[in-house]
Amino acid sequence: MSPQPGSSGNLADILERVLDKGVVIAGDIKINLLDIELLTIKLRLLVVSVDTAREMGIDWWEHDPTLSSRAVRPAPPPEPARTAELAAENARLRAGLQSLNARLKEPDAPDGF
Amino acid sequence: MPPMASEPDLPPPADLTDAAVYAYAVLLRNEAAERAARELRGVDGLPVRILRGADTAAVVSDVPADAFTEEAIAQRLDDITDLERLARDHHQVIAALAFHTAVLPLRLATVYLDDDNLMRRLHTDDGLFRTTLNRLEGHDEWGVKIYALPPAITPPPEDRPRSGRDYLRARRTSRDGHELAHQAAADLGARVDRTLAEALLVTYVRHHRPQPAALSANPGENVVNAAYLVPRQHTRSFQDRVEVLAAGTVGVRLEITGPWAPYSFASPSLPPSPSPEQAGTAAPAIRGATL
Repeated sequence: MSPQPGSSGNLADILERVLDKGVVIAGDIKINLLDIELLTIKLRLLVVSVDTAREMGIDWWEHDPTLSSRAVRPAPPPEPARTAELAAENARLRAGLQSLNARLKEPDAPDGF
Repeated sequence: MPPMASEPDLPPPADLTDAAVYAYAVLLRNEAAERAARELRGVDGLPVRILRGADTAAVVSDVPADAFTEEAIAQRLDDITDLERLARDHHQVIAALAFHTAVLPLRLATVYLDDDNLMRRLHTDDGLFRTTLNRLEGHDEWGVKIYALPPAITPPPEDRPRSGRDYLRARRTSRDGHELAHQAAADLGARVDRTLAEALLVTYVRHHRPQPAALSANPGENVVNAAYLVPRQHTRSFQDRVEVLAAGTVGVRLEITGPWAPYSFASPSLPPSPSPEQAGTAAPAIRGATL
């Protein structure tokens, strides 16, 4: 058996557990934990930027053992159509994220917490 | 950030505003785990200590209060690099403790202003924590993720469509292949659930949302994302059964992760563990919950 419990999990496995599972007991500091949907958007943003960066020949993290897990793997170069599609999606996600962030920061949001 | 005690112009910090208490987990008081905890480093590389209640104890780090205000935490969670660091630091402490004893992992960024407030919370929930911890003792959480593999997309040259009808047929075959793989993955998931329950190898199962394809480095679409609470003596049998089932299924990929601390089973609201009599009946002893 592995001496490092949970070591086989990737970042998504870990985030899923520490953000979405576990015991919720009220702390003194109020935090708005990320909605898992929002998290997914953020992670997709990350992945999209990773692809874009790789396409530009930036791949330093793949040689850094602390950053390169099995989560990052060389992918075939994306087709131009796919790249445009990703860029559009990236812009859409960023806009969505911004508006979600704005809503989270609004103290008197009508549908607030 | 270093304390700025030498600045004569600044008023001395009011009591308890300069430090906060970050809590990772609750466990039953246990010498080995407490010794292990003292060796650990937690969030931001800070030392870890034990805060003892009557029967339970909390595992905590003293953190600079200004780094863990509501706003500061929100900012950290908002940055994927900071979020990953915080999540891994948090998880590492919990994983190390789970090696020694049953733990209740607390959700990321559970922060108290001082020890007293956390102690009060421990005291209030003491009974619930003890019950849950006793239920989890001797168990590990294991993840099973099942992926539908994409059907081969490049047909051999001689199969190139010569007419519109051929093209549509090829498209349909490809789509059918995709649906078949998806169905095979879902069926395998159900078979894994059933087999493990009938063999009494798992205590609970929870089905999590499938992970988005963008998060996976490997090909395939995540169809089943299950967590099982497995008694430690069944670890080997659990893995063997799951692997045998997976090996007999075409078009899917199965991944086992773990052992994990029982993140998915730490909620005190889970139904009580099935009693031996119940487990002996024909009905599967497995308890499920879909999120």
